[in-house]
Amino acid sequence: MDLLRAEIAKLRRPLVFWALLGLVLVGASVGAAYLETAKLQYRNAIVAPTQAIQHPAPCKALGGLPPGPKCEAVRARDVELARQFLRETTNDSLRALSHLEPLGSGGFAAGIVTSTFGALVIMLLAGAHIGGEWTGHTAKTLFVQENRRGRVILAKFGSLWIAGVALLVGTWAGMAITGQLVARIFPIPLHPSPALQWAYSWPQLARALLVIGAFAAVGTFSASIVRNTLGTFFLGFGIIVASMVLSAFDALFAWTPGYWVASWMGFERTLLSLDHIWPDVFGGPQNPAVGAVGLSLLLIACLAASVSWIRRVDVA
Amino acid sequence: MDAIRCEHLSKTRRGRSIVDEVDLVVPAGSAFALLGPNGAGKTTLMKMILGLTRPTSGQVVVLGERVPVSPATLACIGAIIEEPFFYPWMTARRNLDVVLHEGARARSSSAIESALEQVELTETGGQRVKTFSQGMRQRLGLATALLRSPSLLVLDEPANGLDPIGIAALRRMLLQLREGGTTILVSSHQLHEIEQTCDRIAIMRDGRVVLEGTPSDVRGYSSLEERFLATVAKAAGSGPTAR
Repeated sequence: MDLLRAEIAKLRRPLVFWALLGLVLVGASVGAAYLETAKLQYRNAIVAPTQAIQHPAPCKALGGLPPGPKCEAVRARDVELARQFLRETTNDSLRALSHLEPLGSGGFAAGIVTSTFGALVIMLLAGAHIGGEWTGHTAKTLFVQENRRGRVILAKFGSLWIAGVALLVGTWAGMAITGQLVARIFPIPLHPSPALQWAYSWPQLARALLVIGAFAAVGTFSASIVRNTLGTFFLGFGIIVASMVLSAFDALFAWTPGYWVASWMGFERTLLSLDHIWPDVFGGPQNPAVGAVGLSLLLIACLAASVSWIRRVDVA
Repeated sequence: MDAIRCEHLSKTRRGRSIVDEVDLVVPAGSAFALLGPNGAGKTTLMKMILGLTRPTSGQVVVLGERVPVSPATLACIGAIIEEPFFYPWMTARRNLDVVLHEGARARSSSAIESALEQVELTETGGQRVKTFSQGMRQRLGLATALLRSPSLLVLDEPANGLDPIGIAALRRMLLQLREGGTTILVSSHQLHEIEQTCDRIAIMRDGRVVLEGTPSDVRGYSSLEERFLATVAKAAGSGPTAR
């Protein structure tokens, strides 16, 4: 625990603050840009069908049907269709709007931290926090104090994961605040209940813990191999980007971290969505179980390789 | 008891021999100097003693344990290897606190104050290291090495960047530690200082120990500087325990 405490102490540095600020700014920008889409979705999904239910179209608007039993049957069918549509879309619409509420923005933050920008920031931190020990020539001091290198690498990973979780919480807090500011300028048409917001948020937050762990493990692995700041960042982020590209191949997608992240987090099949920035071009269906197993194995494999490698190298 | 024993220790990197079949014994309680020109293999030898670099062949025994030593033994070793580096965004005290917690046996925070006092950095301990001069960083490096009240001190060119006042203070400190029973292995280019502080000297050249003995044995009837220059300039062939 002392070693972990020492590693966490090293993370109390300006870089972490700037990383958090960057994530919040990205989240706020995407959130503000998405507000109009959310409102449009709200109009299409709730306002329009509600009006169709409350005020069914007159007979003359239904292909010029004369008033009578035939017209009433068509109107009744249209109302039923509108009710069915409303039932199906209300939850989606409320979920979209809940992104902008304080509790719901947790799911939003989870999507930002577990997608491309989050991976970028975690790899930057891995570069500075782990690779930086070699670039800054402090690795010698570190390994003179603690020669059980496996413990050092695991403490590095643990502290990086904790930093990732802190970024998640910080981004959530930042999004909750900026969401309120955005809502004051552009009023939200409907406020989903806190229960609904939380129901959307907490599964995403819980799932994000594994994805952050996998990203941190990839960063730790890259740092162990390259052992410098920039190289760690480029290799780590390169692995993530390569996995996204490989997920486009039908024969490979099920074996790529890109697919595992998208499956586990339930990212929609769009390149840019409100709650994530992650290409979703693979051909197969999403499978959360495959995602969870894949990410867990990736995490274990990266840490095992890191520990094994770092035990063998000379500390220059 | 020997504090350090190197047996047939070699290190080869990319086909080039850095340390070549070194046999070296540092007796407990002694102050042992490693001398040699740049590139002689002193730092690599010290890194192998500290377990930072793996030998290609041979072995090192430190405080009775083969390297890599146990955490308990490691806690008895203090070291500076090359120029000491720190986390520049932290204060000196915070840096020492981190070092303290990285080790296997964390000591009380009073150890930090004591180490800072020994290197005369008590008043500047609250400043960020990025504001420190090279000499102050070097002294902070010494504080890091002294943090656990070590019984074995491995110092690679500890006088680098120190002004004459700092060098005199370092000399006093090393003599005081030696009197207190601490074993010191030090490499330095400050031959005059070495003569005053060390009771054994080994001169390295091209990865080998070519001359070893007490200061008076090593220098013979000449000065240590003359003997050093003569030794590193030609292949060793004579001397007290020439190899």
